[in-house]
Amino acid sequence: MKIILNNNNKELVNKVMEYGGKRVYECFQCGMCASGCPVASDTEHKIKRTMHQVTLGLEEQIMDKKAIWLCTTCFMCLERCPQNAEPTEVVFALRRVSAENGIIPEAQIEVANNIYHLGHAVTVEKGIKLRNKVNAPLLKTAGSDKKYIDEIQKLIDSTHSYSLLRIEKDWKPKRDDVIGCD
Amino acid sequence: MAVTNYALYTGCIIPLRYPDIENSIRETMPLLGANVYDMVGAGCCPPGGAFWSVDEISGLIQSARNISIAEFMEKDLVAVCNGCFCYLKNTNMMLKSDKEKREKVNTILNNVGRKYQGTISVYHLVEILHDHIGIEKIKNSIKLNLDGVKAAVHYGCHLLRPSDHLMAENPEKPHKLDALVEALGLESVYYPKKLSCCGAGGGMRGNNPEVTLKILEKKLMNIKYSEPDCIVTACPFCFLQFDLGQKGLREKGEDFCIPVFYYNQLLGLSMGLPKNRIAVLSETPRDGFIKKYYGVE
Repeated sequence: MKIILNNNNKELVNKVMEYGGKRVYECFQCGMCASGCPVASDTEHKIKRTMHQVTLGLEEQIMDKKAIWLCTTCFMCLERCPQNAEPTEVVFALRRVSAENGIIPEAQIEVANNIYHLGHAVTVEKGIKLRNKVNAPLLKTAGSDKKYIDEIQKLIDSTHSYSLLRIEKDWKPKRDDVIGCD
Repeated sequence: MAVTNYALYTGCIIPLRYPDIENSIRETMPLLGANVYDMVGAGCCPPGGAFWSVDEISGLIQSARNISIAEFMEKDLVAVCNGCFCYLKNTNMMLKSDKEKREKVNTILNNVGRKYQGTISVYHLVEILHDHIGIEKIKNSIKLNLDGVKAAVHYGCHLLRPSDHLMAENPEKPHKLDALVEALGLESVYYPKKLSCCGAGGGMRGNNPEVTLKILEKKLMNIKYSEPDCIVTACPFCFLQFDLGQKGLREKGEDFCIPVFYYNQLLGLSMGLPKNRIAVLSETPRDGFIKKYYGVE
């Protein structure tokens, strides 16, 4: 495959830097990031390669595989990078670019819709049944009262995440499972 | 006994999937001189995998809203989940130092009648137990010593990293949760790659059930190396990954059945609190462990 580098390739790296991956140019490809990565050996997410691809402007190669969404955000790469190039922040920035292009996994959309409509990342109804089972006190968090959910909705409505995370007005939670995105 | 008051930020998983863990926190902490109060109306932290991954400001405003509730209570916030701790503390650090972002956040928060002021600190429960309360007090609070029982301690990622922001622990050589576990008499055993991820975070558990189990299996193989009697963590999402994940692996014919505890559940049992409120909900059986070592059914 032929790779042609020209000024257009700077678009990606500029965007990544604007979206939080400020130190991506510090990377000198030592590989410490990948050595501690929990997903490197089992997935297509290769953080060392991704860092290089960003500075080369290879946007399609990064986005096509959707591998940036396989990061568990454990921050081991960021912790161990001797250049402090903050690889995890580069992954977050790439996710923000990807979301702008409309590429975002289902689980993220599900969690965001749960939070928007229920005040929590998981379903509340099942939670209240479990609370009753163990005699936990009355729930007082956002999920306990519509007025708090309205407040959270108002906040989310005023940001880009409302459209990026495809918030639906009529949302029925799909499953009681903990999808979890922390 | 000196009493300290905290705003208890429970998050999503503990109050809505493992409320017995919430009970264990609510019942053990006051016995150690740390009163915890409800943060009425608190929402999701929110998680890094969703809101932070698409738009920083939408993460910041939801976190700042939660922090403003604790500020209104005039109490420091204690997070009982690693993910919540990481993102709330990160927000607090960022907004305390970055005036431009703080103003942007407050303009939006103003629409719902809230304001971020930067007047409180965000702590993880492990910091409260280890740094504020102290090992001696915990040792003196227990009725039953689990001398000789082996525990595999799992810190989880977002209690440790990024350490520049969180500053809760030494990221390469943490010791606080080990010390807390040993205060109950248990032996915290060495196992390889102790600081590695459980495989749940970042959206992995929801998006890729196969990969999440693969990462967990590697983690568990390392844990098994030390033949522990239980796994102890202070993060409900790691707890869930070990609890449900081991069940998932058993369904594939793998032999993983190590009892998992959130720290305060073990602490509560050691204090003599009733099991039926604080250690009930789990898919990987724990009753055998509890009966054998605590003598309660």
